[in-house]
Amino acid sequence: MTTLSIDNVTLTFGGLNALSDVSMIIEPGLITSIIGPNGAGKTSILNCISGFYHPTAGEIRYGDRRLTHASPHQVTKLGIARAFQNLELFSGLSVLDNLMLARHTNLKYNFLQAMIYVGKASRLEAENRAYVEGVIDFMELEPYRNSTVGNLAYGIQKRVEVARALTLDPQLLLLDEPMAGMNIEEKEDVVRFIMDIIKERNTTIILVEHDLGVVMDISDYIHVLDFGEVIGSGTPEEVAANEKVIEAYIGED
Amino acid sequence: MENRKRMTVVLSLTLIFIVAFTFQAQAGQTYKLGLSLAITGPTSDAGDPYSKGVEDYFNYVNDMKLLGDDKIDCTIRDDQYKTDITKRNFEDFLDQGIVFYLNYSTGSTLALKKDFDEEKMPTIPASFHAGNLVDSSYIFLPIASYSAQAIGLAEYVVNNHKGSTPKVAMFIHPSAFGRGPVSDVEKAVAAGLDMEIVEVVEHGKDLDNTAMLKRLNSKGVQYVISQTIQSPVATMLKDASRLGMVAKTFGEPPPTLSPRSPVQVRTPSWPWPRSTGVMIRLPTPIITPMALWWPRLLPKSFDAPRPGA
Amino acid sequence: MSTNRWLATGNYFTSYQDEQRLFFTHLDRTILTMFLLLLFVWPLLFTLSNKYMLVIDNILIAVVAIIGLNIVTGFAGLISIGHAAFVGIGAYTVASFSRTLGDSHVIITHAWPLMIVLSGLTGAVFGAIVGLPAMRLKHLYLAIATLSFQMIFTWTINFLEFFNQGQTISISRVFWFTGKLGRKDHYLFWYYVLLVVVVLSGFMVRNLLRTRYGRCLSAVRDNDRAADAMGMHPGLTKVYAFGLAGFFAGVAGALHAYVYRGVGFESFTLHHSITYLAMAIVGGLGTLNGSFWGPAAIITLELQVETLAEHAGQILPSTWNLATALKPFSFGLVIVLFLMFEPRGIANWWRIVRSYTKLWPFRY
Ligand SMILES: Nc1ncnc2c1ncn2[C@@H]1O[C@H](COP(=O)(O)OP(=O)(O)OP(=O)(O)O)[C@@H](O)[C@H]1O
Ligand SMILES: [Mg+2]
Repeated sequence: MTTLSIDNVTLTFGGLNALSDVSMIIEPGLITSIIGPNGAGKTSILNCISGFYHPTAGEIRYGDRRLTHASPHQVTKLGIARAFQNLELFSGLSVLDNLMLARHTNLKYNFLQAMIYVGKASRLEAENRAYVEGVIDFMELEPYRNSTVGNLAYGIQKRVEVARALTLDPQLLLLDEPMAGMNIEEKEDVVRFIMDIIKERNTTIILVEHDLGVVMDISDYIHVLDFGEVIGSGTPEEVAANEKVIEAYIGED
Repeated sequence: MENRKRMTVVLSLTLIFIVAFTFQAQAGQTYKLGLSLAITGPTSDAGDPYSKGVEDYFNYVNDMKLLGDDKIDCTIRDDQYKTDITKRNFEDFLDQGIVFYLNYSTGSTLALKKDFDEEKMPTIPASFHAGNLVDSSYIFLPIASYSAQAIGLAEYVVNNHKGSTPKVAMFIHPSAFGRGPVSDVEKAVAAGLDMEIVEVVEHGKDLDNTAMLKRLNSKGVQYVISQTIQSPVATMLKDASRLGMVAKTFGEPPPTLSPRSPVQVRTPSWPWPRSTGVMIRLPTPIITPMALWWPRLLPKSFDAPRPGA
Repeated sequence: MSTNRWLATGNYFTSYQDEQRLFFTHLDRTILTMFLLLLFVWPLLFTLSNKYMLVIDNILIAVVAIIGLNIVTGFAGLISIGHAAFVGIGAYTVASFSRTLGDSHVIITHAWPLMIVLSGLTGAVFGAIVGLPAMRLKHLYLAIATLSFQMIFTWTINFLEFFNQGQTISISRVFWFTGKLGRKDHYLFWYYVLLVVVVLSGFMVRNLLRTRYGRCLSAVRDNDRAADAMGMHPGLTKVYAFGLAGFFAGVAGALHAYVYRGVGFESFTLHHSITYLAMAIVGGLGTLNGSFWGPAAIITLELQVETLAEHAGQILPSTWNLATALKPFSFGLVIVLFLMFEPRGIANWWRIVRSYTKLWPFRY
């Protein structure tokens, strides 16, 4: 089990600090939530972890690997997967293809074998197809298996987004507002999925979410961001009692 | 080598005549001919009237019974000045069983050279590129090659120029047809023709040549030898006359130069609308439709150079 | 397994390897087998004139090229306005051998299958190099990069003495086990070669498309950020797409060189690149069978318009030169009509026709 540590990370966009001097430790096997008002820098920190942004200063380490300058595909190969806040699906492809793409690095046959498509390629495809089917089953996406993703309802696309991240079989899963724009039933579904993931796969989860009720219920640990700075960290109880946090949230709402 | 090739040409010509006359004995023969040319596409301003000329001419031949009871049936196909289509047309003609082939562009004549030889298909191209004759025995040029025409013009310039070495520019079509003679003229210069080639201009589709003419003028160019189709020359002439370089023609009869049709060459029975050799003398330019002019002005001793020979 | 093996009545797969099958019903497979058989057998039954054999060869050459273009533009979504130049690279690979060794050197006349593969590889290398800007550029900017390659290609061929300044470089007739090919068999022989190449390419690409090497193409087309997050290098994937497209283009180029027995620059101009794009669009971008429909449709159309323009050219006053405009005009019209009314191309009609062979409940 690997620990993710973020040390004094600063991220600047043309003079504006999206993150300033952010430090946090993500313990393995837990659900860690990052909360904060809009524009607080939550997505930015996920972007830094997953390699889409590179911190202006500071360092991100995953176990003994430095992620500070890694690119997304390198990060993915370390077992870190991400579900995006704004859907980033392959909208022209079927759900199945979207998930099979997440098995990209596991399909270890070469170009010639792929061209002939007997033996190894066929076997690996079938094996990974079975794996994908497991995720489809798990995320209850069976009715949509062969539908084009772009035509599905928003809630389901969100679920595909999470499913695709899961298909990468990550040790660390970054979920960016997986429940945004969902009704209460759909939210319950997603929460159930998250709890299942932890239970069945023992995946470390970083959850970014606006719904404080959900966050307080399921998180093991919470970091609160405001204007790119960590203003409070702790267990849900500790955070709920933190004055700075209350101030930020009341000032915001 | 040179002589052998000419012998082959002469021999095969003789052969054709013999064959032609043998067939003529059986009255009422129809000879199939094929013509592939650019009715549309690049150079179609020349190709289109050319096709009409050929059509008219063979109608004339048939109507006037120039071949007695025999008739010529010439199929005309558009090739859009493209080699690939010309090839297809030629294959089509072969399937139809033509006995004589008329081609058009330089590019396709060169490309199909081998086919003509393989098929033993006598061919008259509308292109008089000297390279057509290299390594081929079935292509016939009814008049001097472009190279011969251009070198003839160059020699004319040298012979009639007074003063120091004349400075000449060449204004050519951006294709094999235009580029062909350039190297031969250059060879003639290298061999001692007292002339300086200042610049070779490959024209585009410009509608204005003022800048080019001024540039040539400033480089001290005194003559422009053209190797291209009508419309670019017309454009150049228009600008030349506007710049005060009054264009004059020579040749017989001297076609009068009007802005609308600066160079129009058509002989009564065989239409060669492509007047390719045009010369402008700066600052008092002279324009020559080559096709009319070459047989009279070409020096007797002049031998058409063959590249590679 | 379904009781009816001929029509799809539902999903009866019992294993995932079952599901990988290319043909879902016996009907599908039988039709394709019969069709392929027919393609191989018909020339034995009746002879077509050389003119039309050449047209058919030409269509098949274009099919190979369009399979490549579909990979880069259809599947990977990278507009390539220089595809004809890649085809040219293949043709000029053969031509280079002809220039240095002579046009009837054994390498050209006997080792022609090797030459074809070699041309494909050269095309792939050039494709990959030209695809390098795809690491950074997108959309129109990338299209401009491919356009500039087209320009550089035409310019280079036109001005280098080695390439005969763009004039035709001849390629000799090849040898087969029966000896040197004559004029009579030339186009027929290449028809069979082309057919084999097309069938092989078709199956190869069909297989690739259901593996990671095909899926990654659609991934970078739909969303290259997400593709990155799936663990692939999106830039390199695009370069790979260009390389693969270059390979097919190169093969097509070599075949063009052999079929026409010569290589001249004018077969590989910007105009041809645009025509290739039109073929891909009309056939159906991002579909394999569209690569067959497009060339067939466009080349047939071209033939028709040519005949029309030829007649028009003889009737209309030549000074207007309307006939010249006829071809680009009708050509543009067809593309616009397809973009407006059937952007998914002829492949979509094919999809609709095929769906009639399925019975309720549908496969999905
Ligand atoms: N690529 C970028 N260029 C410029 N500014 C950016 C960029 N990405 C983020 N920012 C800025 O950084 C700040 C933090 O943005 P971020 O997306 O991390 O917020 P967030 O906490 O995820 O907000 P939300 O709850 O709305 O998702 C914002 O002010 C945003 O405008
Ligand atoms: Mg966000």
